[in-house]
Amino acid sequence: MSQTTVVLGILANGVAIGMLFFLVASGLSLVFGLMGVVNFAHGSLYMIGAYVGLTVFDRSALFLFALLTVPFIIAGIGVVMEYFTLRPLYDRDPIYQILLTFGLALMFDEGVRVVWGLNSLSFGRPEWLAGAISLADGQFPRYRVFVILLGIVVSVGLYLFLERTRFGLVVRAGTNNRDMVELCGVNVKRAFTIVFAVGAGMAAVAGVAAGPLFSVYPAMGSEMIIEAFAVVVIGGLGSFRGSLVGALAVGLLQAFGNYYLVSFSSMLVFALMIVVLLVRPHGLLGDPEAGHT
Amino acid sequence: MSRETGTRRLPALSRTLVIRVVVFLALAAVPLVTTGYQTGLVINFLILALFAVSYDLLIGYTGIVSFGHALPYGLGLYAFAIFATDQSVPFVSTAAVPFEGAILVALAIVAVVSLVTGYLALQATGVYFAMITLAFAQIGYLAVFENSDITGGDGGILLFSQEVFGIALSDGMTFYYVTLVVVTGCFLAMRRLTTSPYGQVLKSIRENETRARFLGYDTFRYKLSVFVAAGVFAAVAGILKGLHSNIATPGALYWSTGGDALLMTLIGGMGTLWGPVVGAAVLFGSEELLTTITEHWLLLLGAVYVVFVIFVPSGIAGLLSSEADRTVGDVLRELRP
Repeated sequence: MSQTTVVLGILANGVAIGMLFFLVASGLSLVFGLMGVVNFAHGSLYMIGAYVGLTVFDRSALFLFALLTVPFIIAGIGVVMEYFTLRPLYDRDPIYQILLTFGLALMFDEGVRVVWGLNSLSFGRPEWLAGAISLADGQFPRYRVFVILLGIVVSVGLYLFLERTRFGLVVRAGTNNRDMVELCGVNVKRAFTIVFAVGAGMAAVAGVAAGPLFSVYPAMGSEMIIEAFAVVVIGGLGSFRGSLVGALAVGLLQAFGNYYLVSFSSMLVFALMIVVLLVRPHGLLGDPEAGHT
Repeated sequence: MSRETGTRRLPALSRTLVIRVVVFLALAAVPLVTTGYQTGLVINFLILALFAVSYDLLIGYTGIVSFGHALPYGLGLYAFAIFATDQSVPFVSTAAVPFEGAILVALAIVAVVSLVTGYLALQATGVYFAMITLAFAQIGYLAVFENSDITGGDGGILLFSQEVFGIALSDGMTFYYVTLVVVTGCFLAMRRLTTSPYGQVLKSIRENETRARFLGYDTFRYKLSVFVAAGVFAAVAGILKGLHSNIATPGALYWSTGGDALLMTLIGGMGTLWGPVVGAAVLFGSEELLTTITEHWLLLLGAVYVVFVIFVPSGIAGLLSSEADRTVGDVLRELRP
């Protein structure tokens, strides 16, 4: 293998992982931006998405079916969670929301162990996504290419949703100044529920897509949440573009680190996070003027 | 409670003194009336309480919210374990370091690391400070997890405590009294710290840092020093934990350990020192109680937390007295600078 082939392979790998990070982190960032809630249970939604996706895929043998339906199920869980537990706390201190979502994460993680057991479960790769694609100098596993394309489609969709729809306008305005939007007569609480559902759904997309890459295990949620925090903080809390930049940076850093600096690779992400915060306290693309940041 | 009338009421000072003496005597009597296993449980509770109270110095008194309190706790434990046991550490002949020395070295390491990480993290405020502390803790966790030739990786380091400062710790009752004395001593030291003029400055930083600065206090130095102090007390808890359970495992450095400190402090009530002790009792008690009901006790524990957060937001200390002078609005300001 030539050096270019290796680098291209790592690059594709990093972008694919980065896309998964983006799908999780953008929901985390949206929820923080609009509601000021640091959602510790967001990683659990990703994990439940993966588990439910595994079950649906096992029963139906249709990967796309799982990918399309599971996010709606998880979005439904998100709505229930937001409506019954977070909603009574919006007038309270954000630290209580952290504590609440921390408790919810405990419940979700244990609930998954009750239903699916403690062991890591393998998530088969659909046949039409097996094998590799030859392109230029490199061989790219078909599934990673699929994950990259999926990430692009979802992020373009989210971008259009935020930038081109009336509802997206409310979300962006609410992120900037929630009180003002409320004074304009917009039902911000309903927007909270919808944004929470969108975030949960995107986490579930990532969960289902991650299944065939990493298999499915009970600690995947708490591992993901910490990395998603790093992504969001590097990119800038509450910033959509920031999440994308942060996710790709972290994905690539991990992929290259795994190849060149094996025993340090996972630490690099957090080192980057500290450096970014010290140099640019509001993240690479964060807005220091925004309401919550 | 303090509003009661009546001539037979004890003066406030002596009444709290009575409560303290009763609590201390009750704790001192524990190993005489319980089985060895139960005494072990109380030891675990005392260690957990010390850890939670050390966190209260930060969140309750100074108003800085760290997500990385697992770092000093776990680092203290690991530094002690690495130096106290016959592990192959480059450049240091570990076999030559006795337990006493290992404890002091561990505390010194934690103090230095807290000083450096605190200096860097305190450049930021609010959520960003919290995230930097989280990142440092996570680096510590991964460093331990991945350097398995020094730390034993997932399996951890086995510790067999023989004698520390001439006291045989292998005896359960002896260990209990050592723990009780150390934890009580740390608690009183923290009480002294928070009621001293230094503690008053910390509270003023919590209430309004800008004003504290205008009054001429170098608030950064106060925040950094209390961050180091809280770290050292957490490290004492970590070392006790290692001596008690005879093992150091990476879980001590995982972010959820720091999350436990946050949970205990919030459930007990911030800014009171005794509130976190109550919080530790709740966490520990519910763990022990719920384990007997179902092996999936974390499910129930999560539910207990959720109910608590929604319905008892001021913590147990807030329910019991008006001493918990930390309110919802206070922390709100800190997280949204």
